[in-house]
Amino acid sequence: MSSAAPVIEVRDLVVEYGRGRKVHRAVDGIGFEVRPGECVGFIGANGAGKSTTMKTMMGFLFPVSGTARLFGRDARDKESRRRIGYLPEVALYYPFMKARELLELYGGLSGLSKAELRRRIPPLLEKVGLGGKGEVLLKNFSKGMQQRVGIAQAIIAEPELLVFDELSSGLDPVGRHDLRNVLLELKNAGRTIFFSSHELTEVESLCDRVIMIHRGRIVTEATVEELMKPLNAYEIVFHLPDAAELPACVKQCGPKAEGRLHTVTIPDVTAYSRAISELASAGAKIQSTASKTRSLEDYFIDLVRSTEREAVS
Amino acid sequence: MNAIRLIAKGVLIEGVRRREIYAVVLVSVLLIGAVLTVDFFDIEGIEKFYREVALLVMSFATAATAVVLAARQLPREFENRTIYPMMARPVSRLQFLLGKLSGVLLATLFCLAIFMAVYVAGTLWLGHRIPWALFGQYVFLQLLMMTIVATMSFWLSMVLNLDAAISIAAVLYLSASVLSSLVTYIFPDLTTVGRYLLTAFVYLVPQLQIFDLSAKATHGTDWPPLSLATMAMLTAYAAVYSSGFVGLSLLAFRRRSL
Amino acid sequence: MNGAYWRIPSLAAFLLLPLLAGRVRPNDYEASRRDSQTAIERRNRTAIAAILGGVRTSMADMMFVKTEVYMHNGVAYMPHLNMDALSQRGEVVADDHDGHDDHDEEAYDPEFPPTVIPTAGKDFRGIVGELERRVRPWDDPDRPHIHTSGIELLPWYRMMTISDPTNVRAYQIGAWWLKGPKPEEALGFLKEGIANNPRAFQLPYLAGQIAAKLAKGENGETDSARTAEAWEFFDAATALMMKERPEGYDRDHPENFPGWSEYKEEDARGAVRFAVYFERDHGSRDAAIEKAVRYSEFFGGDGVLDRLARRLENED
Repeated sequence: MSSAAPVIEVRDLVVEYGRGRKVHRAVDGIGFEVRPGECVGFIGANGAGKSTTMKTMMGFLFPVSGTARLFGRDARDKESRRRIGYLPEVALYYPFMKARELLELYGGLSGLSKAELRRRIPPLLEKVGLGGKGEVLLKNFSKGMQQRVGIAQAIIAEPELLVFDELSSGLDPVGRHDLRNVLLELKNAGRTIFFSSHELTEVESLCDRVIMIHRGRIVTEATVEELMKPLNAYEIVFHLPDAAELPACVKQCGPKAEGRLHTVTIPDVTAYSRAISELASAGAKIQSTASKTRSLEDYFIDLVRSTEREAVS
Repeated sequence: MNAIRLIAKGVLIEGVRRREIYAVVLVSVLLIGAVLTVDFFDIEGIEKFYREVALLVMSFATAATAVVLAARQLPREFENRTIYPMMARPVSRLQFLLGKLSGVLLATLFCLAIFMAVYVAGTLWLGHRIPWALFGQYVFLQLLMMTIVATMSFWLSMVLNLDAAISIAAVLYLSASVLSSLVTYIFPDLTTVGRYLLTAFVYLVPQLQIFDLSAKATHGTDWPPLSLATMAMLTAYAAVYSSGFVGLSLLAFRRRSL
Repeated sequence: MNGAYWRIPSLAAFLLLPLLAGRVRPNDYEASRRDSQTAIERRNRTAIAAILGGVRTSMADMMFVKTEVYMHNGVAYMPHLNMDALSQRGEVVADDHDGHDDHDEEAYDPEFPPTVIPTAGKDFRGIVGELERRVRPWDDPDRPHIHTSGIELLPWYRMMTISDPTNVRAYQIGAWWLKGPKPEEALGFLKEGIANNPRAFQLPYLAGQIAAKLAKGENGETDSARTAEAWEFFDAATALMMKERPEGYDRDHPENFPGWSEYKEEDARGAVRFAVYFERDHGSRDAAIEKAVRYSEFFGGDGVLDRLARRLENED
């Protein structure tokens, strides 16, 4: 993590919807930072508080308490907004505008000159897969094309920070692939990217860091490596003679037994090698071994379910 | 200013490209045409009737455009989520509001211009005279009235839902002259409290009928144009109420969650 | 929004339908005037009746108010129906003109009726009222007002009768204005009105007047066919009137006879007087005297008819 001043700085943020008895706390005291050049994925189930957090960060919602600052300034500050590109969750852009006109509108609002817009728009449309569609009315665009034009509007002013809410929503596999390339290009160019997505493979492949939110609270915040590490596991199934005793390194991994047949899951490769060797020394007969690498999605689902169970109990 | 101009341009593009405006023009022309096809005994001297019908249909159609266009600006921005990429840019909420309203007014002006072109063409085709001075003042006052109607609809759409905003604005527009007659008629019979309330009503709710020059434009040849002083007073009246509605809109929008 | 594009032309078609389908031809005179059921069914089969239903009557009434505004060059004066209320409040002084019948029209000074937009002295609205007086057609009600040409009102009467074919007054007044410049069209208009309102004696009465006028040629010659037509109209009007007028009608207490307005009574007396004059001019003096006496008795005495009978008796 860079030591530079954070681009996004969220502190003890509480956001509520409704009034009186019907008040619903969507974000419950969360805090995090995103440093320059980082690509951070913001994941959580539906209704976890992702969009609310992002909207508050952007100054669209007013928090009950806490702060959200961008580039060290209030989220509603014009100066900070000059440096941001934002993609909302599934927008339907003005149906009677052409794609070029829409980009001219948003680019113009970001302070780009007409000449600059004329120069930037054609390659930008090409980049997002809408080459040659600049003069087409947006009402004729499919959902995926709308999302592509949305991405184009977010990056037209080449902002330092990109905030994408539900990044790949509405995109087909080709669209996702194209988008991943665009994001990688932006990431390599040193842009700071903060996005929410339900596509965890995308998060896995693009992000440096992941923030998981559930019921308005952050449940995990770690680098992708840190997260993925415990997800790589090895399973050993073995027969243990009656007289033999389980080696300590296997015992501590909580093996399960069905008669003489034991199954144990070992968290990392070093421990796995050691366990094989000690089991052999103990006289165990190894029946099978398997690599049990879990995805971020598995981890996320487990995490959500365990949190749900805790809440119920 | 650039942000206001750009946002207004966006609304104007949308207003101009929507086929409803042309459909309304077509309907108006058909209606006026249909009225004129009725056998009026082959008599001369139906200029006033034509002017009355044409101006009435066109005023209603322009007002409907202004009301609907203004009232749906903000709800549509929310519904389609386009407000987010807009407000994520260095644009203040005041600029956003003024841009939207300017766009609505430009689109209304466009609509009014089309109608007036149709009216002038129809009048000349029928060989009737146009009282130009009164007609010019009529167009200007229509625009002032539409400014009030549009700003009012815009504000109503913020504090109510879209349908309610359109309904209230339409009722106020349509019943302006009836309400005016009604308040003057019932005033003497009211109690002191009732009189205060009615006076408050007259000053709080814009009195749109004072911009309605259609009757004089219809009976044009016998009425002189309005004085400059009257035009200035009407402009000031429109400015005060429009600014009031813009102010109320800003108050409602300033601390509103998007 | 795509659906809306089709809704607008559909609405237009819906609005245009009554104007086109409900269009009536003034010269389509059907001999159905004695068959009221047929007439009722005929007018209730029109598109405008099917679409507008009861609203058509209100629309016609609104157009009637419009004609009053037109007649005063756009200035809206208080409709007569408000006069009683105004009199009670003391805003209008009831003025019983000598020699005039005492009915609503005389409950205020017809030369100086109050305007809908009040004068500055009576307007509580201050600047708003002042601006309204300047922008909308307004005249000081204390000054005599100007009446414009009735020709400008004719489209409204035409629209009124399309909207509500039972509006006898619209046919009556429209034809009255039209008979000057276009008597043939006026007669056609009345024939349409008679077909739609077979029980309204006022229409054949006016039609008879117009036919009588048309019967007189420019060089003094008489068109016998027209004269016969006028006879037919007067006979029809008189017979209808005598059948419709309530027995024992009391002019001093018209409120006891809601189906027979003071206007109708005036028209009824006018109709028979004109019939007597027509008899005198085109028939025989004795028959005219006989009619004058008979009609006067029918009305329980009529000064004009009595004087006319006496004058005819004294003629050589």
